[in-house]
Amino acid sequence: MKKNRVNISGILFYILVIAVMLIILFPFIWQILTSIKSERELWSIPPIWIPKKINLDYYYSVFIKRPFLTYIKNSFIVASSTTVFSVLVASFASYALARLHFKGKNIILSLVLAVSMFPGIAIVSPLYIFMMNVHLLNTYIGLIIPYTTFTLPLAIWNLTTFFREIPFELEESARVDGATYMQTFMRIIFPLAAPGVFTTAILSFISAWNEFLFALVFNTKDMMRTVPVAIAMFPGEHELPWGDMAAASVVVTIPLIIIVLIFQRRIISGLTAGAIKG
Amino acid sequence: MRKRYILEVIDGYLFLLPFIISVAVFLIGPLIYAFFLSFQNFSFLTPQKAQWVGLKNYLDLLHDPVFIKALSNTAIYAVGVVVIELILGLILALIANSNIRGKTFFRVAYYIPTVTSTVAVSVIFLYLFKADGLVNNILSRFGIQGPVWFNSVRFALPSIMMMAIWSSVGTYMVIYLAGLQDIPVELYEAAEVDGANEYQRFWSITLPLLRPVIFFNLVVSIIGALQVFDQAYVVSRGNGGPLNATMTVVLYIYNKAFSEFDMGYASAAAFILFIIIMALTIIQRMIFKDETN
Repeated sequence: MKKNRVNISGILFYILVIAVMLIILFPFIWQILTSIKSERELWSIPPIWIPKKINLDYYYSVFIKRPFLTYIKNSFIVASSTTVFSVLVASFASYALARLHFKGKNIILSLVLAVSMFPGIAIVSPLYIFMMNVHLLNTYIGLIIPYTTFTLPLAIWNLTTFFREIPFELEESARVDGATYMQTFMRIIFPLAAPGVFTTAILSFISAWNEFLFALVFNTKDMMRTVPVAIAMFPGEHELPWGDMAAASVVVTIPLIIIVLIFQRRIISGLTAGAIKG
Repeated sequence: MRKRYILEVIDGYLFLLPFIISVAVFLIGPLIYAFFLSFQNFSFLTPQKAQWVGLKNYLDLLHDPVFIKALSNTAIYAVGVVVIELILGLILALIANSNIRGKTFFRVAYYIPTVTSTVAVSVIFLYLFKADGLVNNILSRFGIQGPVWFNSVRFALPSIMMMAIWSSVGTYMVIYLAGLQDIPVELYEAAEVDGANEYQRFWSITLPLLRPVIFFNLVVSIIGALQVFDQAYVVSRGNGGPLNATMTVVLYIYNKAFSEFDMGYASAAAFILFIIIMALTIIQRMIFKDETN
């Protein structure tokens, strides 16, 4: 009798789990289906669920009629440069915070925290004026600079956590052998923390890849737009190009989903590092 | 020994130098400049015509009905999104933490929306919730006449809230999950020996030990929610419509600065938001410090 009850609640539990999962995944599935529908199927009322055959017109339209490859290139250059700068600057800072002893460390840690809370909108106007005066509007550097600044806090939290876990004995013996702090950092700490560095890099890349506000304001020339801004600009005067928008959003989302699937353990450990141990 | 310590201090700050410089030049510098702008009548198109106007921008903002509307929209959005997302995130984490099969898949599935660009998410939802879209079609089968969601004065803001919850609940779930896994199993075993049931274990072990994590999630989600922009911009095509129903503070500041070219006024509004965020963070920290002591 008792066993029976457990089974029923177990089944109900699974139904709940699957229902919630469907709510989470369905919008993506629907978007993929929409992107391969034909024009007629797309506008049909009531909506058609499964298209009769795979139609790649919208992908063609996005890549050939629109300069979508340029947008992807822009996003990729900006996001990967941000990642490199952010990881570099953050690992120097994290090495000092995790391994060295000096006064004022707590002030620096609160500075990191303050930056992570900082609303970007507060400095969009002054930075815009600055970028305009030094002719960095509609350039990659103009975006890489604010992105690097804003990804630094998360990168520093993560890397500090990872650097702390490396045994101190290794560093001590290198120091006894006369290595400088820079040498111990380059030869011991950085290589040993490679998985942590990698996680931090992925997280920085994702946040730069998806950023919208600065990209919208700073890079207004069509050929310098990043992917999120480009998609937001798809709607024309009258009708919304649903098919193009569906195809484009599938194209930008799939790479990130693949990254998450492959590196999920690392990403999740990186994300929680600041929250749990910080 | 003393020499070695001095060396460590110097090296420490040398390592921190790139971070300190970038924050000083690209964050604190612009912030100070924004503070000066907020007391001026300033447009980047005609910077030579800038005028010092004292507190006028701030005083005008207090009587600006659109700004007040943006503030109240943002407050409604923040409270609704934060409360629901923190509770839902915890429930999902408890589910993912129980002994079910396919746990990893479950965890990854929830996490996917959080790495998806907010613009892509907005586009996906706009299509699902358009007047003759799939959601209204399904509702009509149950005899319900669905609203025009994003184009309705009443439903536009709740629709954005729902979208935000959908796309970020995974982040909070993942952080809760890490917190749950840090709770020693022995505590639960001991409680079970003492005859505590599942609810008692949750209220007297899980919840109290999860407090720092809940606090962390609370701070992060409030700060994020107060800065909502992307979704409101895409859904309303930048104008905060219909009838300012989706006008948020950041969208308002953006429009003032870059559509109406009134950067002084926009900077004053941005400073108000900045102060609200800082004040809330400090209050939360104070409450939290009291609790840990």
